[in-house]
Amino acid sequence: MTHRLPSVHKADVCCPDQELLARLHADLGSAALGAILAQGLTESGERLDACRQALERGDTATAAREAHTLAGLQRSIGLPALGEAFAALEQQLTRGDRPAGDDLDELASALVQAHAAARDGLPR
Amino acid sequence: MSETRMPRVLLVEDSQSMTSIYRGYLASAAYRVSAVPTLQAAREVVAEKAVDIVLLDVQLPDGNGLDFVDELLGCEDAPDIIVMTAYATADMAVEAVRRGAIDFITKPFDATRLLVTLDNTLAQQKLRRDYARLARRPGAGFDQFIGDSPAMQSVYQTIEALAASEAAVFLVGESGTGKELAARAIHEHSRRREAGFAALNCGAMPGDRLDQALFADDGAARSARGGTLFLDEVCDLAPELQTTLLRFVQSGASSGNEGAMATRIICATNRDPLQAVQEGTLREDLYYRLHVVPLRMPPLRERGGDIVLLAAHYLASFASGAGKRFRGFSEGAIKALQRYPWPGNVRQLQNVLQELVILHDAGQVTEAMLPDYLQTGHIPVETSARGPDPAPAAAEGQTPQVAREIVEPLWQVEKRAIEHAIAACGGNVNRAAGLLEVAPSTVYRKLQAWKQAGDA
Repeated sequence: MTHRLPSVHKADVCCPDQELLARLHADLGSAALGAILAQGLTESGERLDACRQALERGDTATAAREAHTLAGLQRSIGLPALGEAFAALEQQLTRGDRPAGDDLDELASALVQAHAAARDGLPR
Repeated sequence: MSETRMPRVLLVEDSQSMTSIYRGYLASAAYRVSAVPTLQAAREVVAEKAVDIVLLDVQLPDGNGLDFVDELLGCEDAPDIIVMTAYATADMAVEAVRRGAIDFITKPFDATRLLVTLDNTLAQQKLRRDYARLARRPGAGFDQFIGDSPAMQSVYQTIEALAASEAAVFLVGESGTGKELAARAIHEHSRRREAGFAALNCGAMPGDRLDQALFADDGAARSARGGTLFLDEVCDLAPELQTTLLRFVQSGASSGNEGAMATRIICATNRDPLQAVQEGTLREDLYYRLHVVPLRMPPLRERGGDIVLLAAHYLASFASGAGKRFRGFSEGAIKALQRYPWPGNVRQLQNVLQELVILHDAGQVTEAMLPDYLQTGHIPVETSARGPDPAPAAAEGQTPQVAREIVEPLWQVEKRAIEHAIAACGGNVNRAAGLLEVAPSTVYRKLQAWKQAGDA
């Protein structure tokens, strides 16, 4: 059964938590945080692909686990709102509901924008 | 683990980005960090290397981290495990600690939080190592005693000196300080150790029965012939028995058959024996016969670091006996143990830990698991060995004033425990609920109710 995720309002989900980012910056430094954000975007893209492929073969358990990791990853790199969107996807998958293909596309697009916003928000 | 080796942390996390973040947090800390993305790889590292702490994610590609907690803790010399749980999964954190994880840390966390958690775990490991080392080191304990405080070192030296002599010994000390243990240690280290040791509590039975227990054919005096007769609470001995005992000591009745060694008498009391003489409850001539060499057993509050060593010993012993998972104490619990004056001394500490192990099962003892009076520092009347006697039982239907002052309404006790847990967790209600072993919703509901009642 296909269900739509609660609407992904890009303006909200793409907005980084500046306080969290500042703390990450203080803990890790500019160079390391910049590298981790780049790594995070690559990894998130790969995991979203893995989630999509798992859904195509009907493996919702793997899809839910990927969504869970995606949620935790976004929260850890200063993107809590995007993390909540992935957590909603995880819950939907755990319930056994399939998300609409558009939802995953929207999440993929939000991912790119959110990570760009996080990079732009870093102290120079 | 050697004292100089840098502690090794194994990070089990399948996200490369999160691994990079945690590695970054620990880059300048004194930890050697290895990272693996699966449980299988973690198994291999643990088998090959001496890992001190495992930082474990729960959802991993090849299994559930909580099952790995069971697996790892089943091994000898298992590392301590800190479970990393996702946001808002307090139940998972509680389950992890129940299964034996030493702590949990909720994602996302910053560098300070990670370092504090690791440092606390390392401090507990050091405590366990110190305890093990001290337990092995000659002079750190003595006979059945545990502890190496200056006060106890002095006791051990005196016991050794007394064991080599024939002098009558008078042990003085509060209840629960180990007076009988000291008497046994003197006996076991003396040349009488092959003969009997008999102990009798003079305060525990009426005079006629005590007379029988002491002087009958199968009594304690005969059992201890040529060995050691330990008379506890000797100040409580009835006057006529004091006369008999004095005769026993004076007339050589305590000697065995010809050529055999005389029975050595060791007495003990938790009172001031000289005061008992002045009050007329202890015969002066008996006092001078028995009180040849006094040995004062120090109360636990004078034994400094011994409290933690004793607590570690009893926790390990009771947890092992009951098949529970306890491996150490949280920093807060250690502080509470050290803060409390222990009026019931070692016996009270032993009872507290025995009860705690019966009632709980977790990786570590937290402050919330300790009795309320340990958290507040109040001394419950029934355990006070120094304070005045509790008020006599009230007449039926009356509540004595002292009871009103001591007994708190249950809701107040509960409120204080919850407030204390929240404060100890830096305001994190979910974590406090986890440690209190209740659902976060229960805590929120109670906070709301107190607030509405204007009592928050």
